[in-house]
Parts: sequence; structure tokens; C-alpha cells
Amino acid sequence: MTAAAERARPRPEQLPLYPAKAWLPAPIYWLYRAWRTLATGLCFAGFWGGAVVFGWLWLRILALWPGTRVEKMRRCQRSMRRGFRLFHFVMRVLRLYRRVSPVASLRPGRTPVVLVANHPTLCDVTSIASLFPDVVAVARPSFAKNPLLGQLVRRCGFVPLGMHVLKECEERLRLGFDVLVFPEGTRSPRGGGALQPFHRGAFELAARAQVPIVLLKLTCAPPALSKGLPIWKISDRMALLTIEPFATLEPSQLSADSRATCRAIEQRYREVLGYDGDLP
Amino acid sequence: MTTSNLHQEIKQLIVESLQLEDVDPASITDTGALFGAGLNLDSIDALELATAIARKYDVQVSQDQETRDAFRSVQHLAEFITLKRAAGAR
Repeated sequence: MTAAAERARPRPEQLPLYPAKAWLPAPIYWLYRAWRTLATGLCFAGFWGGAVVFGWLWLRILALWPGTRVEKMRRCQRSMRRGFRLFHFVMRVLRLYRRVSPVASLRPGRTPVVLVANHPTLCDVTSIASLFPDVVAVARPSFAKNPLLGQLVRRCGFVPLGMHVLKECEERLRLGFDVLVFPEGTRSPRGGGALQPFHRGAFELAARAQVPIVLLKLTCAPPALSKGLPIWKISDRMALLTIEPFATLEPSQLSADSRATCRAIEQRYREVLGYDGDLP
Repeated sequence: MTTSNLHQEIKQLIVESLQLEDVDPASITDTGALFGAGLNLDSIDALELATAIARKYDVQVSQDQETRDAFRSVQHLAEFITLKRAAGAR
């Protein structure tokens, strides 16, 4: 594609949310909207309901089986992955949300890596964790403390943000898990159409643990479940999340100064995602 | 130890533990913000500083509101350390 055509193509976050409104007769369109809103609500309820049953009942039963802490963590993870797969299968069948990745593995070698990603939608973690094995994410403390999700977060080895976050992440890497970090600390603003300033924790972690960093580019077209976009404002068309690794930084390429790495990688993301300059 | 001594020590500790080569400890003010504006430290700095303070002054630095308040400025940190040490000595 030529550069001009590339520019002319609308950016994913600029795709219209409601294209069907123009050609579908009003009563049918409103029925269709009602159905999509209901389906979204069902998925939402299903996720939280599932998380409670799964975290409070199923994972507790699993924990009764003997095994080391890692074995238990892996067992919970396998179970969780199946749960997330089911969740995504349902969302795909309901034509709400689909995730794809052009690659079969996010690791360049066999060893664990730090995964860094931008964060356009609410379902980025479930998408990545359901497509790829052995991923733990760094979770906001509010998730770990959440009475509904907390069990799941803790038993599957997700790392709550806090005083011991670096130590715990290093441990997960040693145990063979990839650690997924969203350096923005929250979802990207404007439907993934912009970036928040990066925090340097992920880069400090990689430098300390001497593991590669894999940079993931996440794009969601049309925008869905993004920051500032209410959940029920689901598009007329199915949202497609693409998970694409675009670079690997070996430990030897990382400077000990994680501030510099952080700034350089944030700049790189702005280029890769096509954002010029700073946030307005 | 007098209060201003402790303030000096904390400033020294901040610069050393965070390897802020371009910052003069004397340029850090007692009441200026450490995070965000002011000295512009970030979350990883907070972890480092907490570890350094816990080690040097042998105090428990836990993750709670009290700690968050203490890490606002040098003065707050000094009060926090004095208080914790007094509680520990008893």
C-alpha cells in the first residue's frame, strides 16, 4: 500500500460505531441495537458470574489436589485459559468481539519474556491469556482486592501492583511465566487512539531479571470497551482486536537506566501506532 | 539526632539510593513534593526509596495510607521515621 493510501485509510479508533444506522430501517435498527446491548450485558454478567464461580468454587477445589505452588498455579492457569476461551467464543458467536494474532507464540525463544502492550480494550488480558499459555499480568491492586475477581487474580499467579511487585514479577519469570505489563497503567485513552505516559516498571523488571522484552501492538477496530467509551456503546459491527508483536529487545540491548528505555519505547509506540507528538 | 540532621540524611539517601546524579541533595526542599511535580519521582523510585529507608532506619514500611502520606515530602518522611523509631524503641 502506498503512503498516501495508508494515510487515507481511517485509523481503527476513527471507524464509525454505528454504520448500520444509515441503511437499516429504523424499527429494525432499534431492535438490532436492543439485541446488541442485551448481548453485551449478558457477556458482562457471564464474565463476572463466571469469575465468581470459577474463583471461589472451582479454583478452591483444584487447590485441594496435591502439588507444589507452581504446579497449582499452572493448574489454575490452564483452567482459567479454558474459561477465557469460552468467554471469547461466546462473544464471537454473538458477533460482539473477536481477537486474533498473526503469531502462534509471543516468545522469540523458549525463555520467559516481559510482554509490554498498549491497552485499547477491557478484554486485552483475557484475549492474550486465552490465546497464549503461561502469561501472568500485573494487575491493579483494586483487582486483587476485588471480592469477585481477587481469588482468580491471586490463584492464577497474577501480580498485584504494590511494594513487592518487582520481586514477585521476577519470581514469575523464574518460574517460566511471561509477565504482561501495560506501561500506561490503565487503558489507553480515546479508543486506543492515543497513549498515556508510560511508567518504567516493566523496563526496570526486564533489566533486573535480564530477560527480553517483547513489544505488542494492540489495535481494536472499531473501538470497543475502551476508556471513556461506555460498555453499552458497542458498535454495530464486531470489534476485532489484533495482537501483534512488533519488536523484541534482548537484555544486552537494554540500558541499565530504565528511564531512558521507557522514554525510548514510549516514543517507539507512538511511531508504530502512528501518533505524532504528545497527547493534546 | 536533630530534625534538620535527619532531613539532610534523608535527602542524601534519596539521591544515593535513586542514583539521581544530576540532583544536589541541598537543592531538595523540606516541604517540596517528591512525586509528580517537584522532584518528579515515579512509582519505581518509591519502591527503591521505601526499601532504602526500611533498611537504613530499621522501620517497617508497609503499603498503607500512612506510608503514602509519609512519602509526600522530606519533612513528612522525617516525621514518619521518627514516629516509627520511637514506636519501635518502646
